[in-house]
Amino acid sequence: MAHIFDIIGPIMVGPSSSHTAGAARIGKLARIMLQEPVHRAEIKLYGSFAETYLGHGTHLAVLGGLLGYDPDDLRIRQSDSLAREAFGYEFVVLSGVPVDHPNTMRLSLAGETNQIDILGVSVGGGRIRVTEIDGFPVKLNGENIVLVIHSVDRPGVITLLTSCLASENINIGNMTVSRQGKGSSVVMTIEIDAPAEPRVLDRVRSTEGVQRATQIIPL
Amino acid sequence: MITLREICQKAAESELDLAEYICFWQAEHMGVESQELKNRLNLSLQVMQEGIRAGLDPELRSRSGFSGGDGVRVLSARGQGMLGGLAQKAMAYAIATAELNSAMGRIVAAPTAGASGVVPGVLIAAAEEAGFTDEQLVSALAVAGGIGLAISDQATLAGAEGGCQAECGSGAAMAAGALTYLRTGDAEKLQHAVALALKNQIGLVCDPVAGLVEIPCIKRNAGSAVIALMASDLAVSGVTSFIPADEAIQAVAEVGRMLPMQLRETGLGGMANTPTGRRAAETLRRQQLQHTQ
Repeated sequence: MAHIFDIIGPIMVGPSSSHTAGAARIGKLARIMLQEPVHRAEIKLYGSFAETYLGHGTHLAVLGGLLGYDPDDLRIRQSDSLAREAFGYEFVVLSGVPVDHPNTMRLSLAGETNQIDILGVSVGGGRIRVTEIDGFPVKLNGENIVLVIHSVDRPGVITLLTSCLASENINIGNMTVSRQGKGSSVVMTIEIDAPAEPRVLDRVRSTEGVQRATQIIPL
Repeated sequence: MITLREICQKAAESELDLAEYICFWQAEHMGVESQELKNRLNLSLQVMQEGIRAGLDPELRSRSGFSGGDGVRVLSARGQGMLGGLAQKAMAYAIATAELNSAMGRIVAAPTAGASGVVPGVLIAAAEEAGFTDEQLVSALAVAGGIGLAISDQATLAGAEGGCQAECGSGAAMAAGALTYLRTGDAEKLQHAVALALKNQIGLVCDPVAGLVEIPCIKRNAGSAVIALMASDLAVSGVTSFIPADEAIQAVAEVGRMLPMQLRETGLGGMANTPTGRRAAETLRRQQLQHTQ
C-alpha cells in the first residue's frame, strides 16, 4: 500500500517523475549492480523515453544515476559533462521500436572488470522496475534488500546458498530463479530482511557454483 | 479501500487531531517513529519554500526555452489584480514552483511533478498572509498527504491514467482540504472543500505539448491554486457539497477511465494538438534529432 511520501514526494529534480526521477533511479540501480565505477555505457532509449528524452532531461538523469546521484541531486543538470569526465557513453535513440512498457531503457555497462546489461522501466511516480539482467528475466524495484546471484545451473546450488544464508541467520522473504534453457546459467534474486555484512557476502560468493553475487540495498 | 470519511472518522475515534492521527497512522504503516515522519514532512516543506525562492528567479528558463519568468511577473503585479493579494501570491508561487520543475530544479512531487506547484503555492502563500507557522504547515502537509492517499486508493494520481484531473485536480483537492483544516480544524468542512475542488476540476484532460511537463501544466498549477482557495472559502463560509468527497473522488476515477488515450499524457490531443502545439513539438523534435546526431 502507498504511504504518505508517495503522495508528499518524492523530492526530485524536475520535470517528470517517470522520465527524470525514474530514469535517475534506473541508472543508480544499474551502477550498484555493476559494483564498480562505470568505464563505458551504452544507453538505449525506447518508447516515450526515445520521443521526449531531451525535453525531460532523461539522458541527464540516467547519466546522473550512473554517477551515483540520487533523483534530487542538482548535479543531474550538468551530468552529461560530469559523466564525460568519468566515462565514455553513447545514447541510442530507438523511436518507434515496439516495447512492452512505454518508458523503457536498456543499459549496457562495463567497469574495469565487470559488465552488466539491464532492461529498466519507469512505471510512474519515480518508481522503477528492472525486468532483465544479462538476458535473464527478473523483477527488481530497488525498494527491497536483494541479493542478485549469477550461478551455474546445477542441482544443489540453491540448497547450498539457502543453507549458507540460514547459517548466518538471514531470513529470505522472496526468491526467484531465472534461467536460459537447462544446464547453462541462472540468475537468482533473493529478497532478505536485513543487509548482509561483507563477510557474509564473501561466503555467498565462495559458495560452489556461484559466479557473482551483488547486494542491492534500497535506493 | 481508504476513504477520506474513514480517515476523518478514525481520527475522531482516536481523539487525536486529524494531522496527528495521519502521522500516527502512517508512521505505524511505515514502521518509523511519528517524529521521524514529521521531520521528513518538514524537509519537504523546506524544499517547497526553497523551490518558491528559486522559481521566482526572473532568469529561470525551462529546458525547451518555452517557459520561465512568469512566477515573478505575477508576483510583481500584486496589488493591481482583480483577485486579492493572497490569491495572486498563491498563483505566483504555484507558477514559480512549476516553472522550476520544468527547468530541472528541485521540487517535491506532491502529488506529482506536473502538479507540484499547487500545494506549496496555496499553503505557503496562506501562511505568509494569514500567519500560519511552519509547524502548522507540516500538519497541513500531513492532512494533504491523507487526502492524497484517499484519492490514490480510490482513483489515481497519474495523468497517464486519469488525465490532469488526477494531477492538478488532486493537487487542488489536497490544498483545499489542508487549508480548510488549518483555518477551521473542522473535518466536515475539510471534506466539503475537497469535494468542491474536485467538482471544479473533474474532466480536466492531460494534453502536454510535445509530451513535456510544461505547456499547459505550468499555468494549470495557477488555476488549480485559485480553485483550491475558492473551494476552501466556500467550505469555510458554510457552503456544502451535495456530493460527498469520496463519491467525488470516485466520479473522477470513472471519468478518467472514460478518457481516450489521446487525452492521457500522450501529447496527441487537446492543447498538444493545436497548430501552435504541433509546431512547438516539431521544433523540439528537430532539436532532439540534432542532439542525437
